[in-house]
Amino acid sequence: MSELDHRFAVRVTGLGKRYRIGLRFDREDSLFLTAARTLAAPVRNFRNLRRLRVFSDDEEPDVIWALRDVGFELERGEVLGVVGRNGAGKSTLLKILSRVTEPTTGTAQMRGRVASLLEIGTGFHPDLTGRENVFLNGTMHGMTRREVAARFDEIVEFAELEQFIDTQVKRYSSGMYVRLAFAVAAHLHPDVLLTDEVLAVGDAQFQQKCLGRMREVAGSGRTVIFVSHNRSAVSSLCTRAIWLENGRMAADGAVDDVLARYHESLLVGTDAELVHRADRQGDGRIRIVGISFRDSSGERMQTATAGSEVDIVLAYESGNERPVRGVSVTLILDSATGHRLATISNDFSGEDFGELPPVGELICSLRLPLTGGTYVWSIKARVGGGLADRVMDAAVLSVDGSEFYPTRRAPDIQAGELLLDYRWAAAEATFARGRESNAGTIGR
Amino acid sequence: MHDLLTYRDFLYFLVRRDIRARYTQTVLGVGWAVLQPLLTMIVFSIFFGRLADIPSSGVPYPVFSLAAVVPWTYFANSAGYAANSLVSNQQILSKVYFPRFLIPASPIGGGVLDLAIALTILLGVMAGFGFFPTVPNVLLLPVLVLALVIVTTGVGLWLAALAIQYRDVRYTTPFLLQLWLFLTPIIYPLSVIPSDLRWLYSLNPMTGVIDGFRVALLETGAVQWSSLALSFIVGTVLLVSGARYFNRIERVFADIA
Repeated sequence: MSELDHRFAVRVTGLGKRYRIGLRFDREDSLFLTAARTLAAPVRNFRNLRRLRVFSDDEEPDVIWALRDVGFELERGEVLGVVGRNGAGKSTLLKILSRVTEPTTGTAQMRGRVASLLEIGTGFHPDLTGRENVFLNGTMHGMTRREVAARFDEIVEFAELEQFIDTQVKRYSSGMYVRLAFAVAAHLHPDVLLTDEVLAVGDAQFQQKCLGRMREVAGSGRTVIFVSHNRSAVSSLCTRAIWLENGRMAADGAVDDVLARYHESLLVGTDAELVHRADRQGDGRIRIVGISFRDSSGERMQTATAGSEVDIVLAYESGNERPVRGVSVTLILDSATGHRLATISNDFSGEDFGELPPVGELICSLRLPLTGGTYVWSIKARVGGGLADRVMDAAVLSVDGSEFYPTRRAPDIQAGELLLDYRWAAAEATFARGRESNAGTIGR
Repeated sequence: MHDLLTYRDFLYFLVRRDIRARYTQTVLGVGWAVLQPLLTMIVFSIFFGRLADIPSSGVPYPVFSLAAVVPWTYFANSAGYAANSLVSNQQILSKVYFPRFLIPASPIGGGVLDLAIALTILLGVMAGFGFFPTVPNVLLLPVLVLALVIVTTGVGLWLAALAIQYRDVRYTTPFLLQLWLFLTPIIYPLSVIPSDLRWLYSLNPMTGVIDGFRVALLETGAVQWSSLALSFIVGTVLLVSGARYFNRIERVFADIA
C-alpha cells in the first residue's frame, strides 16, 4: 500500500455485471413432439440451470449487462448519491459493493468495515425476541458480540422499544419491527455504509428520524453510498452523485448538477416514451399513454412561462377497449430536488368525467404558480376507487420567465418554488396618528 | 480465515437461532432430541431384532441398535438440514455478505448439542441393560465424534451447494439418506459382511464410525482400524472437495438462487 493510496475509501474500476435472462421456449405443435419435449425436459432443465452461471465468450441473445464500465473513486467522508431509473443498475451496483454478488469484470476496493443495508430487517427471525434478533443481526453485519452489547441500550432507546425487547418479534407490529431493524443498522458504525431505499419504510415521523440519523452518519466522516428515488433525500444528504442509465454511467459530479441533468433526460421525448414505460402499477383498466403540455392556443411546449395558462393533456386508453366510468386522475407535482409541491385531482375539484370513450384525452387546465426551474409530474389513475395505473416521474416541465405578477418579476428558485396570489395593503394603525391609507393590489 | 474470526459470534447466534427455531411451538422441545433415537430404537428392536431375528453381536438388540442410531441420527439430521439450509436462507444470502459456509455449518454445529443429549440417554439405556463403558475402549469416543463431524460436514457442504442450484436435491436427500442407512451397519453388525468385501463396504465412511461407536461403548469386538482409517480418509476427501465446490459456487449464490 503506497502513501498515495491512503486517500480513497472506495475505488471502483471498470465494473461490469452480466446476467442471463429467461427466454421463452418454443412450443411444439404436435402431441408427439410435445411428449418428446417433456421427456427431454430434464436434460434441457439441467443445461438451463447450469447456464445461469456458465457463460461462453461470444455474445448470446439472452445475456444482458446490468452494469458496464462503471468507475469512480470516493474519498473518506464523501457521501455519494446514486440515481437512475428502475433497472438502470443501481441495485446491482450496491450488491457488488456489498459483496453479495461478484462482478463479471472490473474490481471494487473498499477500505475498512463495510455495512450494507440493502433491505431493512433482513435476517430477523420471527421466533426470536427483539434482544436475540439485535445480536443475530448485529453479528451478521460483522460486529462482535461485545460491540453489540456495548451499543445495545442505545439501539433499544433509538427504536423506542424498551418494554418489548424481550418479546418475540412475531408479536411486533410492522412499525415496531422496522424501528428495531433500522436501529440496529444505524448503530453499525461502519467505515463505508451502503444503503438502498431503506427510508421508504415506516411512518413519516420515523422516516425523518432515520434521515436525521443518516445525516449524522454522513457528517461524522464516514463514507456513504446512498441509492434512492427520494430526490430530496439525495440532494440533502449527498455532496456528489452518479447517474446510471442502462447500466452505464451517464453523469458523475456535484449532486445538484447530476440531479438536474437526470431530470432533463426524463424530459426528452416523454410523450413517446410514456407508452413504453413498463414500471407501472395498477390493474390497467385504464392506462395513461401520453402526456403533453399545451399553451392557450393549443401549441405543444416543453418550456412554460410562469403564470401562463397551461393545459396538461393526458392521453389514455381503456384496458378492455370499452368505455369506462368512475375515472379519477391525479397529477403529482415534485420539484427537481424531490419536494412534493402539490397533488391535484378531479376528485378534489369535484369534476366527474361520466362515461369515457375507450380512447381519448383528459385535460387539466391551470395557471402555473411556479418559479423558473424544472418540475416533475407523476400520474395516477383510478377506476371506481381501485388503482388502475400509476407512473412515477412521467414527465418533466421546464418553467421560465414570469407572467405571474403584473411586474413580470419573480423571485428565483432558491427563494422558493411557489408563487402565491396575494395583495398588499397599508392601513392606519388603530391608535396612531391619522394618515391616508395607501392600498394596492398585486397579482390577480 | 480472517472472516471466520470476524464472524464467529454470528455463527454462535446462528446456531442458537436454528436450535430455537427447530423447537419453537413444540410441546416437547428438546425432548425430541431424546425421543427421536429412542423411538427408532424401539421400532428397529421390534422389526429387525425380534421379527427378523438379526444378530446383534451378543448384546441385547435395543442397546445394539441405539448405539448406532444415536450417531446416525446426528449425521442424517445435520446433513439433511444443511442440504436445505442455503435454500431456506436465500433471502439473507441475496442481501447481506458474510462467509456463506456459516449457513450449513450452523445445523452441523448445533446438532452436536442434540448428539450430546442423545449420548447421555444412550448411556442411561446401557446402564439399564447392565452395560457400562470401560476405559481403554471409551477413549475412542472423541476420535469417533471427530470423524462423524468431518463426514457430516463434507456431505452437508456437497448437498447444500448442489441444492441451491438444483432443487432436485431436496427431494433426493431423504431417499439418499434412507438408502445410506441400509448400507451402513446400523440394523445389522459389521460382521455379517464377508471379510474380503469389508474394505469395499468400508468405503462408506459411516461404516467405520458406526461400528466404532459399538466397539467403544459396548465392546462388540476388536477396533476395526482399517475401517476407521478409511472413514477419516474418505471423510476428509468429501470435506476438502465439498469445501472447494462450495467455494466455487458460493460466488454466484446470489445470482442463481
